[in-house]
Amino acid sequence: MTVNQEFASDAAIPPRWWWWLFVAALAVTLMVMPSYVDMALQLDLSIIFILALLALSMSFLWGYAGVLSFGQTAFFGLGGYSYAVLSLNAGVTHWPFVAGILLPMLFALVLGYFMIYGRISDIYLSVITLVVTLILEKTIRSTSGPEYVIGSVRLNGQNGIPGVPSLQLPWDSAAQLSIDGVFYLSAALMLLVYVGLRLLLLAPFGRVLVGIRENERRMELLGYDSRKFKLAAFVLAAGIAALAGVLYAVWGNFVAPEMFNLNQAAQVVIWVIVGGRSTLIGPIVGTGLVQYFGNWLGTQGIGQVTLVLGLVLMLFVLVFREGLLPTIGRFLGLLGRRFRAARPA
Amino acid sequence: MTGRGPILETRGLSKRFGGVTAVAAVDFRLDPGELRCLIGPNGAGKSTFFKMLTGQLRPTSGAILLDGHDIVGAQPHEIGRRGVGIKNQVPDVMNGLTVRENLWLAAHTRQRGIVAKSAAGAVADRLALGPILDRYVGELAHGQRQWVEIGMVLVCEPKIILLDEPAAGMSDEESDRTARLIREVNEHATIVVVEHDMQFIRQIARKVTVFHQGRILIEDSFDHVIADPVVRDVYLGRGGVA
Repeated sequence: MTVNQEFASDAAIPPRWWWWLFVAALAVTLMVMPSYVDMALQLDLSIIFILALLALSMSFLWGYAGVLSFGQTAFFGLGGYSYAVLSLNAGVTHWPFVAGILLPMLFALVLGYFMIYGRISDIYLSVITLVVTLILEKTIRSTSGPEYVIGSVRLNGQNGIPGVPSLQLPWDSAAQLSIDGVFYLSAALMLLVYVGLRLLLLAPFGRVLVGIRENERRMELLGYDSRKFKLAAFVLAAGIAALAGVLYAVWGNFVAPEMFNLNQAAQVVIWVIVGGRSTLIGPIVGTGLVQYFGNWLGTQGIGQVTLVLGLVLMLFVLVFREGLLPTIGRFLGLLGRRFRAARPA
Repeated sequence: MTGRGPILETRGLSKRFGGVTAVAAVDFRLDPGELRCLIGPNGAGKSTFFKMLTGQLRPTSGAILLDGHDIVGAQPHEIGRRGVGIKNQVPDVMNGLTVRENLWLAAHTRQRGIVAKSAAGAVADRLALGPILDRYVGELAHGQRQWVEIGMVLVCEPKIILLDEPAAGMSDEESDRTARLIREVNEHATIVVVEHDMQFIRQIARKVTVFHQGRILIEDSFDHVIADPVVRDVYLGRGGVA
């Protein structure tokens, strides 16, 4: 019997000083970045941070609660659409920002309740979440006609909703968030969610979740209602995915049915697998690398971006099963031990 | 509050899997403070019986009374909260976590903060798990994992402890220690042990219940049971007592 390296075993151990140093350095770097990089790179990085939030929502659920949701894009899309429809109707953006997160969480609560309290097996949960996001995509795509209106906003089917307002500044509703502002907001929220999840895993709630991932039956026999914990994790992850969706709408001033589609749903899984689900930083790096790599491939005129990304995924599933960051971490650890062992000689 | 009544009782408890009746109308009575051994050949229904008592399987018919309350249909975690702890047949632990974390998770069901931590520490001392507290349970030997699971059960301080083959895969010395521990724990808790190892049962047994084909064949002291010709026939068979 060996310990499965694909999932984290040490989440309950408090991070060491260098982790806090790393977070602080990251925060400072992100703070000063807009003064040094051009607008295009800021926009590219902002979307990577936003999609990294989506990856975090999935990897938290999969890597720590053991629940593989293939359809985090359902909450991502619902978040974006909720914000778009509400902010266009209301003419303000602050409460639609919050509602854009809460509505998908409510949806997750209902969906999760039936799946988790119905005790369907893990594989069915993956399938159902995937199907739900595809149903939502089909539904939105079929709303092209003028009769599909919420308040004064047409859903526009395939074409999506353009002209979604950026966030208004709280102290001046006439002013909207600049490109710098969107960069800061998405960077700060990504960092906040990352640190928040890391700390949550130190708390009793997080430790119980990891216990359930390891052995659900044992946890129940001890006296934990695993359904309650899994549902809470599912709703929390939906909230993070919805936050990403709202930010996506703010970033691009646009929402479209593609937010829900299979391509998008599969990409989230790829980011998490490539980055490694036994850490929380892994999926963030995975998102950045795969997005950057995909963009770069696109500019090389190869024309087979999806195919190449598929090969990359296969490589990781077959060779680097733990994902990029845990593999590097293990390699460095091995190197360190060799070094220490060699020194006294 | 129920005075001298049984702490656990089943009435006509049955479980059928398709056409197979694994447990057939079992009337079982366990008084507070007992140390009961359950024996019987493979497939006699002992593990199924345990699984029904802990809510892992729903009986086809019959009642399970815990302190006089029917718990049929209750979820496993509710039965756990009511003070029933079980060690399953195969080590049922969190393999990917450390011994320390396994024990803490068990302690956290009853206690909070520092208290949970010290309760986990106390059980680790009692079971001599101290030196391996930071090892991953999945890396440990079979016997050690059994101990971790026993520790997780004990730290919850259950009223009734069900042990499904606690000495399986243990060395003689480990199994002697387990027998001593069971007698010690029995001072505060009612215990039911399923075992095959007759030497082990001889060390701990007072009253023995023999299961055969889903029914209770006989219930008596160890010496009487072992001397019973029917028991020898169906269970001990040709090999006799080891």
